[in-house]
Amino acid sequence: MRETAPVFHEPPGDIYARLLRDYWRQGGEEPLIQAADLGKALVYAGRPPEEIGEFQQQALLALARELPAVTMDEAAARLTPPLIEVLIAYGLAFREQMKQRYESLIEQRLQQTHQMEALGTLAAGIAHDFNTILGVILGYTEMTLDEIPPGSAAQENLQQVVAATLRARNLVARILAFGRREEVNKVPVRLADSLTECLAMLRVTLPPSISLRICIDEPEALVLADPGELQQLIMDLTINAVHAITGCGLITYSLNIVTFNAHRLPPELSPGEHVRFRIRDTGCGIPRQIIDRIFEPFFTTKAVGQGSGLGLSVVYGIVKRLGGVINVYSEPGQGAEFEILCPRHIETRP
Amino acid sequence: MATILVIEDDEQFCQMLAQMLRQAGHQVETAANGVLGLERFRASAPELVITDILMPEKDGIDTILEIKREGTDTRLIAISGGRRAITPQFNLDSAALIGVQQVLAKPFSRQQILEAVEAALS
Repeated sequence: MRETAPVFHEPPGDIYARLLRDYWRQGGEEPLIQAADLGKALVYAGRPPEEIGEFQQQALLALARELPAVTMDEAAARLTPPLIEVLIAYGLAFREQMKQRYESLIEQRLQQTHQMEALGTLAAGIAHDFNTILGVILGYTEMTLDEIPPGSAAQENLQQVVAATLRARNLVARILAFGRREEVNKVPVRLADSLTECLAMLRVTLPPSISLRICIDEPEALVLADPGELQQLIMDLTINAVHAITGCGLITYSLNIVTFNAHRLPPELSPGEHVRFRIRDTGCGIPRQIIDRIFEPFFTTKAVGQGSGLGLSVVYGIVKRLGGVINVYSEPGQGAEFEILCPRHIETRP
Repeated sequence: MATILVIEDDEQFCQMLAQMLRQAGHQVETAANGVLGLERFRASAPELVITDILMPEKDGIDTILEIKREGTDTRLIAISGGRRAITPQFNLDSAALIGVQQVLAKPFSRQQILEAVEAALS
Protein backbone atom coordinates (compact mmCIF):
# COMPACT_ATOMS: atom_id res chain seq x y z
CA MET A 1 0.00 0.00 0.00
CA ARG A 2 1.29 3.42 -0.88
CA GLU A 3 1.46 5.99 1.91
CA THR A 4 0.08 9.40 1.16
CA ALA A 5 2.52 12.29 1.31
CA PRO A 6 2.34 13.83 4.80
CA VAL A 7 1.89 17.52 5.36
CA PHE A 8 4.38 19.03 7.80
CA HIS A 9 2.58 21.48 10.06
CA GLU A 10 5.93 22.91 11.10
CA PRO A 11 9.28 22.82 9.32
CA PRO A 12 10.82 19.33 9.66
CA GLY A 13 14.02 20.99 10.96
CA ASP A 14 12.06 22.38 13.94
CA ILE A 15 10.50 18.97 14.64
CA TYR A 16 13.96 17.43 14.61
CA ALA A 17 15.41 20.11 16.96
CA ARG A 18 12.55 19.51 19.42
CA LEU A 19 13.00 15.76 19.51
CA LEU A 20 16.76 16.13 19.98
CA ARG A 21 16.09 18.46 22.92
CA ASP A 22 13.66 15.90 24.41
CA TYR A 23 16.24 13.18 24.01
CA TRP A 24 18.95 15.32 25.58
CA ARG A 25 16.78 16.00 28.61
CA GLN A 26 14.98 12.68 29.15
CA GLY A 27 16.60 10.07 26.90
CA GLY A 28 14.33 7.04 26.52
CA GLU A 29 12.55 5.38 23.61
CA GLU A 30 9.92 7.96 22.71
CA PRO A 31 12.18 10.50 20.91
CA LEU A 32 13.80 7.63 18.98
CA ILE A 33 10.41 6.38 17.75
CA GLN A 34 9.58 9.92 16.70
CA ALA A 35 12.93 10.16 14.91
CA ALA A 36 12.11 7.03 12.90
CA ASP A 37 8.69 8.46 11.99
CA LEU A 38 10.32 11.68 10.89
CA GLY A 39 12.77 9.81 8.63
CA LYS A 40 9.90 7.97 6.96
CA ALA A 41 7.82 11.13 6.58
CA LEU A 42 10.72 12.91 4.88
CA VAL A 43 10.82 10.24 2.15
CA TYR A 44 7.12 10.43 1.43
CA ALA A 45 7.29 14.24 1.39
CA GLY A 46 10.01 13.92 -1.27
CA ARG A 47 12.71 15.66 0.83
CA PRO A 48 16.29 14.84 -0.19
CA PRO A 49 18.59 13.03 2.30
CA GLU A 50 21.01 16.02 2.48
CA GLU A 51 18.36 17.85 4.48
CA ILE A 52 18.88 15.45 7.39
CA GLY A 53 22.50 16.60 7.71
CA GLU A 54 21.41 20.23 7.74
CA PHE A 55 18.76 19.55 10.42
CA GLN A 56 21.41 17.89 12.54
CA GLN A 57 23.83 20.82 12.25
CA GLN A 58 21.17 23.43 13.04
CA ALA A 59 19.70 21.47 15.95
CA LEU A 60 23.13 20.93 17.51
CA LEU A 61 23.99 24.63 17.16
CA ALA A 62 20.71 25.61 18.82
CA LEU A 63 21.29 23.17 21.67
CA ALA A 64 24.84 24.43 22.24
CA ARG A 65 23.48 27.99 22.47
CA GLU A 66 20.66 27.03 24.86
CA LEU A 67 22.97 25.13 27.20
CA PRO A 68 26.24 27.14 27.28
CA ALA A 69 27.94 24.47 29.39
CA VAL A 70 27.76 22.04 26.45
CA THR A 71 30.06 22.12 23.46
CA MET A 72 28.78 21.20 20.03
CA ASP A 73 31.07 18.18 19.96
CA GLU A 74 29.69 16.91 23.22
CA ALA A 75 26.11 17.44 22.00
CA ALA A 76 26.91 15.57 18.78
CA ALA A 77 28.43 12.67 20.68
CA ARG A 78 25.41 12.26 22.96
CA LEU A 79 22.84 12.73 20.21
CA THR A 80 23.85 10.12 17.65
CA PRO A 81 21.04 7.59 18.41
CA PRO A 82 18.21 9.85 17.10
CA LEU A 83 20.28 10.69 14.02
CA ILE A 84 20.84 6.99 13.31
CA GLU A 85 17.10 6.31 13.71
CA VAL A 86 16.25 9.03 11.19
CA LEU A 87 18.82 7.79 8.68
CA ILE A 88 17.82 4.11 8.92
CA ALA A 89 14.12 4.90 8.64
CA TYR A 90 14.82 7.20 5.71
CA GLY A 91 16.84 4.52 3.89
CA LEU A 92 14.26 1.78 4.38
CA ALA A 93 11.34 3.96 3.35
CA PHE A 94 13.23 5.16 0.29
CA ARG A 95 13.96 1.63 -0.86
CA GLU A 96 10.33 0.59 -0.28
CA GLN A 97 9.10 3.55 -2.28
CA MET A 98 11.38 2.71 -5.23
CA LYS A 99 10.13 -0.86 -5.20
CA GLN A 100 6.52 0.26 -5.27
CA ARG A 101 7.16 2.67 -8.13
CA TYR A 102 8.91 0.00 -10.17
CA GLU A 103 6.17 -2.56 -9.54
CA SER A 104 3.41 -0.19 -10.49
CA LEU A 105 5.30 0.72 -13.65
CA ILE A 106 5.55 -2.95 -14.64
CA GLU A 107 1.88 -3.48 -13.80
CA GLN A 108 0.89 -0.50 -15.92
CA ARG A 109 2.96 -1.75 -18.87
CA LEU A 110 1.49 -5.25 -18.60
CA GLN A 111 -2.04 -3.93 -18.56
CA GLN A 112 -1.31 -1.84 -21.62
CA THR A 113 0.13 -4.87 -23.45
CA HIS A 114 -2.91 -7.04 -22.69
CA GLN A 115 -5.29 -4.35 -23.78
CA MET A 116 -3.45 -3.82 -27.05
CA GLU A 117 -3.38 -7.54 -27.80
CA ALA A 118 -7.11 -7.85 -27.18
CA LEU A 119 -7.84 -4.88 -29.42
CA GLY A 120 -5.56 -6.27 -32.14
CA THR A 121 -7.30 -9.64 -32.13
CA LEU A 122 -10.68 -7.98 -32.23
CA ALA A 123 -9.64 -5.71 -35.09
CA ALA A 124 -8.32 -8.66 -37.11
CA GLY A 125 -11.57 -10.59 -36.56
CA ILE A 126 -13.60 -7.70 -37.88
CA ALA A 127 -11.19 -7.25 -40.78
CA HIS A 128 -12.11 -10.60 -42.33
CA ASP A 129 -15.80 -9.82 -42.43
CA PHE A 130 -15.00 -6.41 -43.83
CA ASN A 131 -13.00 -7.86 -46.70
CA THR A 132 -15.92 -10.09 -47.65
CA ILE A 133 -18.41 -7.23 -47.41
CA LEU A 134 -16.12 -5.03 -49.51
CA GLY A 135 -15.98 -7.85 -52.05
CA VAL A 136 -19.78 -7.79 -52.34
CA ILE A 137 -19.83 -3.99 -52.79
CA LEU A 138 -17.03 -4.07 -55.38
CA GLY A 139 -18.55 -6.97 -57.32
CA TYR A 140 -22.06 -5.58 -57.61
CA THR A 141 -20.77 -2.09 -58.41
CA GLU A 142 -18.64 -3.42 -61.26
CA MET A 143 -21.55 -5.41 -62.67
CA THR A 144 -23.84 -2.39 -62.42
CA LEU A 145 -21.26 -0.28 -64.27
CA ASP A 146 -21.82 -2.53 -67.31
CA GLU A 147 -25.49 -1.54 -67.44
CA ILE A 148 -24.79 2.18 -67.50
CA PRO A 149 -24.01 4.30 -70.56
CA PRO A 150 -20.33 5.38 -70.64
CA GLY A 151 -19.70 9.01 -69.70
CA SER A 152 -22.93 9.36 -67.70
CA ALA A 153 -23.01 10.89 -64.20
CA ALA A 154 -24.14 7.53 -62.79
CA GLN A 155 -21.05 5.87 -64.20
CA GLU A 156 -18.80 8.48 -62.60
CA ASN A 157 -20.56 8.02 -59.25
CA LEU A 158 -20.10 4.27 -59.35
CA GLN A 159 -16.44 4.70 -60.21
CA GLN A 160 -16.15 6.71 -57.00
CA VAL A 161 -17.72 3.76 -55.14
CA VAL A 162 -15.04 1.48 -56.62
CA ALA A 163 -12.27 3.91 -55.60
CA ALA A 164 -13.65 4.17 -52.05
CA THR A 165 -13.83 0.38 -51.78
CA LEU A 166 -10.17 0.10 -52.72
CA ARG A 167 -9.30 2.68 -50.06
CA ALA A 168 -11.24 0.66 -47.51
CA ARG A 169 -9.34 -2.45 -48.58
CA ASN A 170 -6.02 -0.74 -47.82
CA LEU A 171 -7.30 0.31 -44.42
CA VAL A 172 -8.29 -3.28 -43.62
CA ALA A 173 -4.81 -4.43 -44.63
CA ARG A 174 -3.39 -2.01 -42.07
CA ILE A 175 -5.73 -3.30 -39.36
CA LEU A 176 -4.54 -6.83 -40.11
CA ALA A 177 -0.93 -5.66 -39.96
CA PHE A 178 -1.61 -4.45 -36.42
CA GLY A 179 -3.25 -7.64 -35.21
CA ARG A 180 -0.97 -10.05 -37.03
CA ARG A 181 1.11 -12.42 -35.00
CA GLU A 182 2.45 -14.86 -37.56
CA GLU A 183 6.22 -15.02 -38.02
CA VAL A 184 7.58 -12.00 -39.76
CA ASN A 185 10.71 -12.35 -41.81
CA LYS A 186 13.39 -11.22 -39.36
CA VAL A 187 16.93 -10.63 -40.60
CA PRO A 188 19.84 -8.58 -39.22
CA VAL A 189 19.33 -5.02 -40.46
CA ARG A 190 21.44 -1.88 -40.03
CA LEU A 191 18.90 0.53 -38.62
CA ALA A 192 21.01 3.45 -39.87
CA ASP A 193 20.68 2.18 -43.48
CA SER A 194 16.91 1.76 -43.20
CA LEU A 195 16.70 5.27 -41.83
CA THR A 196 18.82 6.86 -44.56
CA GLU A 197 16.94 5.07 -47.36
CA CYS A 198 13.57 5.89 -45.90
CA LEU A 199 14.38 9.56 -45.34
CA ALA A 200 15.77 9.95 -48.87
CA MET A 201 12.30 8.94 -50.07
CA LEU A 202 10.42 11.02 -47.51
CA ARG A 203 12.40 14.22 -48.18
CA VAL A 204 10.96 14.36 -51.69
CA THR A 205 7.39 14.13 -50.48
CA LEU A 206 7.49 16.37 -47.40
CA PRO A 207 6.71 20.09 -47.58
CA PRO A 208 9.87 22.27 -47.69
CA SER A 209 8.82 23.95 -44.41
CA ILE A 210 9.79 20.76 -42.59
CA SER A 211 13.50 20.04 -42.09
CA LEU A 212 14.90 16.65 -41.22
CA ARG A 213 18.07 16.17 -39.18
CA ILE A 214 19.86 12.89 -38.60
CA CYS A 215 22.37 12.16 -35.83
CA ILE A 216 23.77 8.66 -36.11
CA ASP A 217 26.32 7.70 -33.46
CA GLU A 218 26.46 4.04 -34.34
CA PRO A 219 26.05 3.43 -38.09
CA GLU A 220 26.93 -0.26 -37.84
CA ALA A 221 24.40 -1.23 -35.15
CA LEU A 222 22.23 -4.19 -36.17
CA VAL A 223 18.74 -5.16 -35.05
CA LEU A 224 16.80 -8.32 -35.89
CA ALA A 225 13.82 -7.07 -37.85
CA ASP A 226 11.66 -7.37 -40.92
CA PRO A 227 13.08 -4.64 -43.24
CA GLY A 228 9.60 -3.77 -44.52
CA GLU A 229 8.35 -3.35 -40.99
CA LEU A 230 11.25 -1.06 -40.08
CA GLN A 231 10.43 1.13 -43.04
CA GLN A 232 6.79 1.23 -42.00
CA LEU A 233 7.85 2.19 -38.47
CA ILE A 234 9.97 5.12 -39.67
CA MET A 235 7.23 6.24 -42.10
CA ASP A 236 4.45 6.13 -39.52
CA LEU A 237 6.46 7.99 -36.87
CA THR A 238 7.47 10.60 -39.44
CA ILE A 239 3.92 11.08 -40.67
CA ASN A 240 2.83 11.44 -37.05
CA ALA A 241 5.50 14.11 -36.50
CA VAL A 242 4.61 15.94 -39.71
CA HIS A 243 0.95 16.10 -38.68
CA ALA A 244 1.96 17.59 -35.31
CA ILE A 245 3.83 20.46 -37.00
CA THR A 246 2.00 23.50 -38.26
CA GLY A 247 4.12 25.84 -40.37
CA CYS A 248 7.87 25.41 -40.08
CA GLY A 249 9.34 22.63 -38.05
CA LEU A 250 12.18 20.24 -37.49
CA ILE A 251 12.21 16.47 -37.11
CA THR A 252 15.36 15.03 -35.54
CA TYR A 253 16.26 11.34 -35.79
CA SER A 254 18.97 10.01 -33.54
CA LEU A 255 20.50 6.61 -33.19
CA ASN A 256 22.86 5.45 -30.45
CA ILE A 257 23.64 2.51 -28.19
CA VAL A 258 22.72 2.27 -24.53
CA THR A 259 23.76 -0.50 -22.16
CA PHE A 260 21.49 -1.58 -19.35
CA ASN A 261 22.77 -3.47 -16.37
CA ALA A 262 20.50 -5.37 -14.00
CA HIS A 263 20.16 -2.37 -11.68
CA ARG A 264 19.21 0.14 -14.32
CA LEU A 265 16.84 -1.81 -16.50
CA PRO A 266 13.48 -0.73 -17.92
CA PRO A 267 10.78 -3.36 -17.36
CA GLU A 268 10.53 -5.96 -20.20
CA LEU A 269 14.13 -5.53 -21.39
CA SER A 270 17.04 -7.85 -20.64
CA PRO A 271 20.42 -6.56 -19.52
CA GLY A 272 22.84 -5.77 -22.35
CA GLU A 273 23.32 -3.46 -25.31
CA HIS A 274 20.28 -1.85 -26.86
CA VAL A 275 19.82 0.27 -29.92
CA ARG A 276 18.11 3.52 -29.03
CA PHE A 277 16.25 5.19 -31.87
CA ARG A 278 14.65 8.54 -31.15
CA ILE A 279 12.50 10.77 -33.28
CA ARG A 280 11.80 14.23 -32.00
CA ASP A 281 9.57 16.90 -33.50
CA THR A 282 8.99 20.57 -32.79
CA GLY A 283 5.22 20.20 -33.18
CA CYS A 284 2.27 20.84 -30.90
CA GLY A 285 3.11 18.12 -28.36
CA ILE A 286 0.75 15.62 -26.79
CA PRO A 287 -1.66 16.65 -24.00
CA ARG A 288 -0.97 14.76 -20.77
CA GLN A 289 -4.50 13.37 -20.50
CA ILE A 290 -4.26 11.42 -23.78
CA ILE A 291 -0.61 10.34 -23.72
CA ASP A 292 -1.49 6.88 -22.33
CA ARG A 293 -3.95 6.24 -25.16
CA ILE A 294 -2.01 7.24 -28.26
CA PHE A 295 -1.02 3.66 -29.18
CA GLU A 296 -4.60 2.36 -29.11
CA PRO A 297 -5.95 1.39 -32.52
CA PHE A 298 -8.33 4.01 -33.93
CA PHE A 299 -7.37 6.56 -31.29
CA THR A 300 -6.66 9.77 -33.17
CA THR A 301 -6.71 13.47 -32.51
CA LYS A 302 -6.76 14.22 -36.21
CA ALA A 303 -9.95 15.44 -37.86
CA VAL A 304 -12.11 12.79 -39.54
CA GLY A 305 -10.52 11.82 -42.84
CA GLN A 306 -7.04 13.10 -41.93
CA GLY A 307 -5.78 9.98 -40.27
CA SER A 308 -7.01 6.50 -39.56
CA GLY A 309 -5.73 6.41 -35.98
CA LEU A 310 -3.77 3.30 -36.89
CA GLY A 311 -0.25 4.65 -37.46
CA LEU A 312 0.99 4.60 -33.88
CA SER A 313 -0.73 1.31 -33.06
CA VAL A 314 1.04 -0.26 -36.03
CA VAL A 315 4.29 1.21 -34.68
CA TYR A 316 3.54 -0.30 -31.28
CA GLY A 317 3.03 -3.75 -32.87
CA ILE A 318 6.29 -3.50 -34.83
CA VAL A 319 8.29 -2.47 -31.73
CA LYS A 320 6.80 -5.43 -29.81
CA ARG A 321 7.94 -7.78 -32.57
CA LEU A 322 11.41 -6.22 -32.36
CA GLY A 323 11.44 -7.32 -28.72
CA GLY A 324 11.67 -3.68 -27.72
CA VAL A 325 9.77 -0.95 -25.92
CA ILE A 326 8.54 2.42 -27.03
CA ASN A 327 8.37 5.46 -24.77
CA VAL A 328 6.93 8.84 -25.48
CA TYR A 329 7.91 12.12 -23.85
CA SER A 330 6.02 15.30 -24.50
CA GLU A 331 5.05 18.62 -23.06
CA PRO A 332 2.16 20.43 -24.72
CA GLY A 333 3.54 23.09 -27.05
CA GLN A 334 7.07 21.71 -26.70
CA GLY A 335 7.00 18.95 -29.30
CA ALA A 336 7.22 15.23 -28.68
CA GLU A 337 9.88 12.55 -28.62
CA PHE A 338 9.34 8.88 -29.33
CA GLU A 339 12.08 6.62 -28.02
CA ILE A 340 12.45 3.05 -29.18
CA LEU A 341 14.77 0.68 -27.34
CA CYS A 342 15.41 -2.73 -28.86
CA PRO A 343 18.08 -5.38 -28.33
CA ARG A 344 21.24 -4.90 -30.40
CA HIS A 345 21.89 -7.89 -32.64
CA ILE A 346 25.46 -9.19 -32.53
CA GLU A 347 26.57 -11.29 -35.48
CA THR A 348 28.25 -14.52 -34.39
CA ARG A 349 30.62 -16.02 -36.89
CA PRO A 350 30.11 -19.72 -37.57
CA MET B 1 -16.85 -21.72 -71.00
CA ALA B 2 -16.60 -23.86 -67.91
CA THR B 3 -18.66 -25.50 -65.17
CA ILE B 4 -17.75 -23.90 -61.85
CA LEU B 5 -18.64 -24.72 -58.23
CA VAL B 6 -18.41 -21.80 -55.76
CA ILE B 7 -18.06 -22.83 -52.08
CA GLU B 8 -18.50 -19.77 -49.83
CA ASP B 9 -20.25 -19.33 -46.48
CA ASP B 10 -21.14 -15.65 -46.92
CA GLU B 11 -24.37 -15.88 -48.86
CA GLN B 12 -24.25 -12.39 -50.32
CA PHE B 13 -20.66 -12.80 -51.50
CA CYS B 14 -21.50 -16.23 -52.91
CA GLN B 15 -24.44 -14.91 -54.94
CA MET B 16 -22.42 -11.95 -56.20
CA LEU B 17 -19.57 -14.16 -57.37
CA ALA B 18 -21.97 -16.63 -59.03
CA GLN B 19 -23.70 -13.82 -60.89
CA MET B 20 -20.38 -12.35 -62.03
CA LEU B 21 -19.21 -15.71 -63.37
CA ARG B 22 -22.54 -16.43 -65.08
CA GLN B 23 -22.39 -13.03 -66.81
CA ALA B 24 -18.98 -14.05 -68.11
CA GLY B 25 -20.65 -17.12 -69.63
CA HIS B 26 -19.85 -19.87 -67.10
CA GLN B 27 -22.23 -22.44 -65.62
CA VAL B 28 -22.21 -21.93 -61.88
CA GLU B 29 -23.38 -23.92 -58.86
CA THR B 30 -23.00 -22.79 -55.25
CA ALA B 31 -22.56 -24.39 -51.81
CA ALA B 32 -22.47 -22.75 -48.35
CA ASN B 33 -19.70 -24.83 -46.73
CA GLY B 34 -17.15 -27.59 -47.35
CA VAL B 35 -19.52 -30.48 -46.51
CA LEU B 36 -22.22 -29.29 -48.92
CA GLY B 37 -19.51 -28.33 -51.40
CA LEU B 38 -18.09 -31.87 -51.51
CA GLU B 39 -21.58 -33.31 -52.02
CA ARG B 40 -22.13 -30.99 -55.01
CA PHE B 41 -18.62 -31.71 -56.27
CA ARG B 42 -19.27 -35.50 -56.32
CA ALA B 43 -22.71 -35.08 -57.90
CA SER B 44 -21.72 -32.79 -60.75
CA ALA B 45 -17.92 -33.02 -61.24
CA PRO B 46 -17.28 -29.35 -62.16
CA GLU B 47 -14.19 -28.35 -64.13
CA LEU B 48 -13.29 -25.66 -61.57
CA VAL B 49 -13.91 -25.20 -57.83
CA ILE B 50 -13.59 -21.76 -56.23
CA THR B 51 -13.53 -22.12 -52.44
CA ASP B 52 -13.33 -19.79 -49.47
CA ILE B 53 -10.80 -20.88 -46.82
CA LEU B 54 -12.44 -20.15 -43.48
CA MET B 55 -15.91 -21.69 -43.32
CA PRO B 56 -18.00 -23.49 -40.69
CA GLU B 57 -18.48 -27.31 -40.86
CA LYS B 58 -15.52 -28.02 -43.08
CA ASP B 59 -12.94 -25.37 -43.98
CA GLY B 60 -11.46 -24.69 -47.39
CA ILE B 61 -8.12 -26.42 -46.75
CA ASP B 62 -9.82 -29.72 -45.82
CA THR B 63 -12.18 -29.36 -48.76
CA ILE B 64 -9.29 -28.83 -51.17
CA LEU B 65 -7.44 -31.86 -49.74
CA GLU B 66 -10.50 -34.10 -50.19
CA ILE B 67 -11.06 -32.91 -53.74
CA LYS B 68 -7.39 -33.66 -54.47
CA ARG B 69 -7.83 -37.14 -53.00
CA GLU B 70 -10.63 -37.86 -55.49
CA GLY B 71 -7.95 -37.90 -58.16
CA THR B 72 -9.87 -35.87 -60.73
CA ASP B 73 -8.19 -33.11 -62.72
CA THR B 74 -10.51 -30.48 -61.29
CA ARG B 75 -8.89 -27.07 -61.13
CA LEU B 76 -8.93 -25.05 -57.91
CA ILE B 77 -8.97 -21.40 -56.84
CA ALA B 78 -8.77 -20.41 -53.16
CA ILE B 79 -10.16 -17.09 -51.94
CA SER B 80 -9.83 -15.56 -48.47
CA GLY B 81 -10.40 -12.42 -46.44
CA GLY B 82 -8.24 -13.51 -43.48
CA ARG B 83 -9.42 -13.95 -39.93
CA ARG B 84 -8.43 -13.54 -36.28
CA ALA B 85 -4.91 -12.22 -36.55
CA ILE B 86 -4.28 -14.11 -39.79
CA THR B 87 -3.80 -12.21 -43.01
CA PRO B 88 -5.55 -13.32 -46.20
CA GLN B 89 -2.08 -14.01 -47.59
CA PHE B 90 -1.34 -16.56 -44.87
CA ASN B 91 -4.46 -18.58 -45.75
CA LEU B 92 -3.70 -18.33 -49.43
CA ASP B 93 -0.09 -19.41 -48.98
CA SER B 94 -1.37 -22.49 -47.17
CA ALA B 95 -3.73 -23.22 -50.04
CA ALA B 96 -0.96 -22.77 -52.60
CA LEU B 97 1.18 -25.24 -50.66
CA ILE B 98 -1.41 -27.97 -51.12
CA GLY B 99 -1.62 -27.36 -54.81
CA VAL B 100 -4.41 -24.98 -55.83
CA GLN B 101 -3.81 -23.29 -59.17
CA GLN B 102 -4.75 -19.73 -58.20
CA VAL B 103 -5.24 -17.75 -55.00
CA LEU B 104 -7.01 -14.40 -54.51
CA ALA B 105 -7.39 -12.13 -51.49
CA LYS B 106 -10.81 -10.61 -50.89
CA PRO B 107 -11.94 -8.12 -51.98
CA PHE B 108 -10.94 -8.64 -55.62
CA SER B 109 -12.05 -6.94 -58.82
CA ARG B 110 -13.97 -8.67 -61.59
CA GLN B 111 -10.95 -8.50 -63.83
CA GLN B 112 -8.84 -10.28 -61.19
CA ILE B 113 -11.27 -13.18 -60.71
CA LEU B 114 -11.92 -13.62 -64.42
CA GLU B 115 -8.20 -13.69 -65.13
CA ALA B 116 -7.68 -16.18 -62.31
CA VAL B 117 -10.44 -18.43 -63.73
CA GLU B 118 -8.89 -18.28 -67.17
CA ALA B 119 -5.40 -19.02 -65.81
CA ALA B 120 -6.63 -21.91 -63.65
CA LEU B 121 -8.41 -23.53 -66.60
CA SER B 122 -5.60 -23.13 -69.11
